[in-house]
Amino acid sequence: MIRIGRRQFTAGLGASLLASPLLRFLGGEAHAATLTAKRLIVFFTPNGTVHRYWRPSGTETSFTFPAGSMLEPLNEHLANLLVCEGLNFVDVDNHDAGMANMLTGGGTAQSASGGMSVDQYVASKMGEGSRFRSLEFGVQTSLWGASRSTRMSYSAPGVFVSPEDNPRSAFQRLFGALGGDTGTADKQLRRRKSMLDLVRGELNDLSQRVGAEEKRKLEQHLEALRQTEKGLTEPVALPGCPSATAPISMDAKANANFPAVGKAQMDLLVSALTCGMTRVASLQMSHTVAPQVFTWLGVGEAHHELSHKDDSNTSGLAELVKCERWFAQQFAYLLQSLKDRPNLEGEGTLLDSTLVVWAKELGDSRMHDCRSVPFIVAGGAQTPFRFGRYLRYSGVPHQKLLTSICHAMGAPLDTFGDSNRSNGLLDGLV
Amino acid sequence: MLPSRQLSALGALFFSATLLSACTTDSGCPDDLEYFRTRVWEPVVSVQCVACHKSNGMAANTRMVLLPPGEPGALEANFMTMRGMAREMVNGQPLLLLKPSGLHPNGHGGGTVVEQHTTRYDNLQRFADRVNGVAGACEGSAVVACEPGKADPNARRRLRMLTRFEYDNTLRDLLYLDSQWGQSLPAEEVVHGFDNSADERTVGQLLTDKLLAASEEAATQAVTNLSRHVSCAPGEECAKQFIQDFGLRAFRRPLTDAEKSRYQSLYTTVAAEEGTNGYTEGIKAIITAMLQSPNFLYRTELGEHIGDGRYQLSDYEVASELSYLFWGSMPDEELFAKAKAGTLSGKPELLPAEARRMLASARSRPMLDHFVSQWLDLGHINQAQKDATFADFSQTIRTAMVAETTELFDYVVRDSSGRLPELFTSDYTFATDALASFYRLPSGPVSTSSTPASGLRMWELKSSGRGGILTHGSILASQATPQTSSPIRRGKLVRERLLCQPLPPPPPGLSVQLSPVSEGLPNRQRFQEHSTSAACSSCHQLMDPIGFGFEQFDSVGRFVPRLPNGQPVDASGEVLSSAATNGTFTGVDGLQEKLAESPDVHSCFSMQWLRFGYGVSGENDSCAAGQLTESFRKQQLSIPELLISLTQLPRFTQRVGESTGPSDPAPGGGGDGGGGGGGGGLPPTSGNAQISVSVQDDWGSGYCHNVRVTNSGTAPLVWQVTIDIEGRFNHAWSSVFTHSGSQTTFSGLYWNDELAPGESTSFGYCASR
Repeated sequence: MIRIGRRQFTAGLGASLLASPLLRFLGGEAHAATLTAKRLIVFFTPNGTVHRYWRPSGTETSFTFPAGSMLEPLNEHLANLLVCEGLNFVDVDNHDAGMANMLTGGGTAQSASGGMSVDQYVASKMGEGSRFRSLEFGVQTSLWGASRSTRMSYSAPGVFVSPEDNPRSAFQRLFGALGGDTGTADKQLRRRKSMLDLVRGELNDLSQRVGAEEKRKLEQHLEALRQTEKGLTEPVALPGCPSATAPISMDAKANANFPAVGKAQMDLLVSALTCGMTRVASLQMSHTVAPQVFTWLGVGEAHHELSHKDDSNTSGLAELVKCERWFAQQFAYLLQSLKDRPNLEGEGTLLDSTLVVWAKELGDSRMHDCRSVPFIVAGGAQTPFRFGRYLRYSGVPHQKLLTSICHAMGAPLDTFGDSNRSNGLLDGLV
Repeated sequence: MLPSRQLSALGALFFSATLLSACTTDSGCPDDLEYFRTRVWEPVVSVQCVACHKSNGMAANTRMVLLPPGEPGALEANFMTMRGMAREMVNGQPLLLLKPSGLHPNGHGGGTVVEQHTTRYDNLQRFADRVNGVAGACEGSAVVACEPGKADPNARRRLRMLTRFEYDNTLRDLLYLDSQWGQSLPAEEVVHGFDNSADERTVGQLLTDKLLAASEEAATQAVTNLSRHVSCAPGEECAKQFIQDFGLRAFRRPLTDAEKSRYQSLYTTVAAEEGTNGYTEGIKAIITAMLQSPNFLYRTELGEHIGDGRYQLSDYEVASELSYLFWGSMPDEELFAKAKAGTLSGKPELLPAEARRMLASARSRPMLDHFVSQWLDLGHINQAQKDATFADFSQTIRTAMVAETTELFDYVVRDSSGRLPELFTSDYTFATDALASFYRLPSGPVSTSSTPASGLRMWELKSSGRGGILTHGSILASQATPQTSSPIRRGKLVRERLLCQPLPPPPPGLSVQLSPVSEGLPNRQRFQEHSTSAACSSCHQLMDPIGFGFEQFDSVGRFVPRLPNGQPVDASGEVLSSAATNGTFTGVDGLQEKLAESPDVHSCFSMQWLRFGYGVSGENDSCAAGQLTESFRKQQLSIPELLISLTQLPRFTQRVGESTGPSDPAPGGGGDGGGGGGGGGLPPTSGNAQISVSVQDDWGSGYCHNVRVTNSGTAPLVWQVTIDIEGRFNHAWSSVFTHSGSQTTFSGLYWNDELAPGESTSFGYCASR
């Protein structure tokens, strides 16, 4: 059966533009149903955790991270956190599979989420009005090339979205186009567009000569070019965008520079959001089986080796906790940076209207399994979630969290990822 | 003694296939066993599943217990076992697919080892379809006999995007610039250690953004030296000349008239806008656009249809195959001249001479280095962190270690016997003076002169404990922990890169910590748990006993044959579960003697070159792999001859089209490709649109359809097509889609969603039955 018709006007972009003035009228009494978060950040750190050093103490609404525990550096942000314990990657275990399932929920082309990772799905729904549909920042994610173990974002099943690992290059891509007089800029834009038009014509020509599989690849190439072109024509930045300073030149692959690269990337990420360049961003710190040695903490073994220390090895575990505390400090820095910027749409800070998801790919690092994978969601009052709580689940599919994130971002769907493993929303968030 | 695995690869299998079909009269295809051998057993199950699924493996108490490769009757017995798994349905899906893909309701003990949307998954699906009597499955995946000189049934027409290595080499040769732009592009998808998998490579916005920036920068630099490209006087005519000459080099083939006029019109527009600077700016725009063109970024291996679904690659395509295989870069003048003269594709017998010229040239050196670096994972050394006690393991030493390995490989290939065994048995090496003293080599350099650029000299290794490529620091220090040696990593490297037997991931739910490193305690004792616990040993016995042979080499690759207490280090080891290599040995030299003579290593080495040379995973290439290995053996394991043999595979000049039916249409032709006949009964028109559906491909268990939409009305049309798709939808092109029940609604992309009156566009989709 075939039906043909004028395509219905779907108000993806329209709705989000309408929503912001509405919110201002509603002010603090905004109804949860109409409230959507405006930005999504995924923050990744590798190699699971050791739960007893990760867990907060206390109750749902009154909790704290004990002294010396992995997340103690987050105590200053408790009111902005949802600490989620007991979410499982259903029927998935191990490094690579965990990495691949973490943000996709095991979705396939048949799933409502189309096999995309949650960041890419949200970007596909709300990213069209931005210069970049999404931005991916990495810290030493590509030393082993791109593979299931080193990538977490997917634009389609099996199609990785690679992060930029070099802060200087990221800066150039984001801010390099700024400046110059309008006449020159206009001319350059015209020229780039005509060159891209030409290239597009050649892609279409080539597409006529190839089989289905190659066609699909050229299709991806065309789509990427379209995004590149859009990036040229959309306003480069919002008025009043603070000028970012170029990161210092450094070897972004050197182990010792891991902290400096991480900080530079977080600064750029926050600048890009502040400047309205995108609504969806991710920061990926290394990848599963991370080989980095946290020499800046005086630690001698690689992060992955440390993550395998069992309970009897107190000194080894202490080193792992040290590393994890460092990651928590980075997350705290990111949250603080968002708190230091004003909200773009209304009152409060940038964090108030943003969801920041700290994701990991494994549960207990020693066990190589994906049971009780630790998730922390951060954000504020201009999102549907109620923060400042510690939520304990018992083996609930993490697809529910991914589904809830999509709802909170104004991109609802029944189930994110594999609908044979899970359905519906995660209780207790709103 | 030739083990049975090799015998079967040489065709003895037809014999057992006959036996088997005689005793199994139930449904299936006559060539099921051969299909099983070439698509399921050899590429996947024998190397990846058997580690656990065997009588003494971790999955010994499951229902799938297989015989290891090399056991008499393993192939046939395992076929019967796995056929049973394929016939058992859970929720309508074969158990054989659900388990390794992790989709089984109860999961898979070994995690996800076969992903959906991969060749290996599709091959398992086809195997299940065959043995379950799915209509069209036998014809759709018929095993075409692999005969020397005949078209290779698995040699697909395709596009290969330049890798970062090739991109930089190509820009250097095309623009006469030192290019680092390639290294700033996103990393390639790595498959079996290689960066050039044609199937896995994908394009995203980060890449196209960076290509735009790189093209602009490169073009800006190139026009500062325009006289290297053209000699005519600046102006319109000269630009025309430039488009033709530079275009040929950039696209590695002559431009079509349509392409020429495209670039001409770009030039005209830019030149007019720029006035006095028009010529240079116009040329710059041409270069910038060409560097972003798919005709530059992709090497085509498409060819022209010559009947029976076979395609003959063009002479220019073959010229690029040669130049990228041997130089990792674009063709030179001589190759272009031969392509123009038409003496490449139609005369494969002349290719060896061409290949020899190219291999002999110094330009092949970066390619050889690139191969070794990826094959043996040498790049790892730059990330290897070491304890402060190894402070002399400096960046200079690391660089010298990598140079040692690439130099040895180059020397063996170019200046010595050329034979693979020499890599393992060489009693000399190449080291800088600094590296020689780091290694504490007792003997002096063989020659007093060193290579000026690298500072390497040839050194004798007598009584140094070293010798052979596996005693190189580049490998030893990469595959080690910051404190000490790692039998696991070193064993894994040998297993995966030299024996081509990838290991499954460690099982979940096991705490796998080793006891701490302790001075005076032999390192191997820390791994005791791996052999005493059954759960650990089924996999670790594949790695640790090999790695133990390396125990005389420390974390940074120094030879340390004694413990601090003066006791000798135990370097005895054993190779298990690799029939043609099994046995005990002592030390790395003992291991290398075994590897040098092992048929497993020989076939693996030729497989690695097949992967490197053709950008394939090898999972669907048993035909080419078998031919290559046979020729490698016949040529006394000569590496240069192996490289030449790559050009003698049928796929070097011929490919097969996507359709597998007997009445394969010419490219662009419509027609029904035969098979299951999905999507019947579609109305030809609806509203103001005319729809036609043609079968693009059909292989029984799945199909792809092409849908043409034409606006037959008088007003512009934004189209939307809803189709009841037979089977399970896989993917679509040139459209976006949403599913609702069994129906899928397609609409256009920004460039084809609106059709002017009379205009048409095509989209398509693929589905599995």
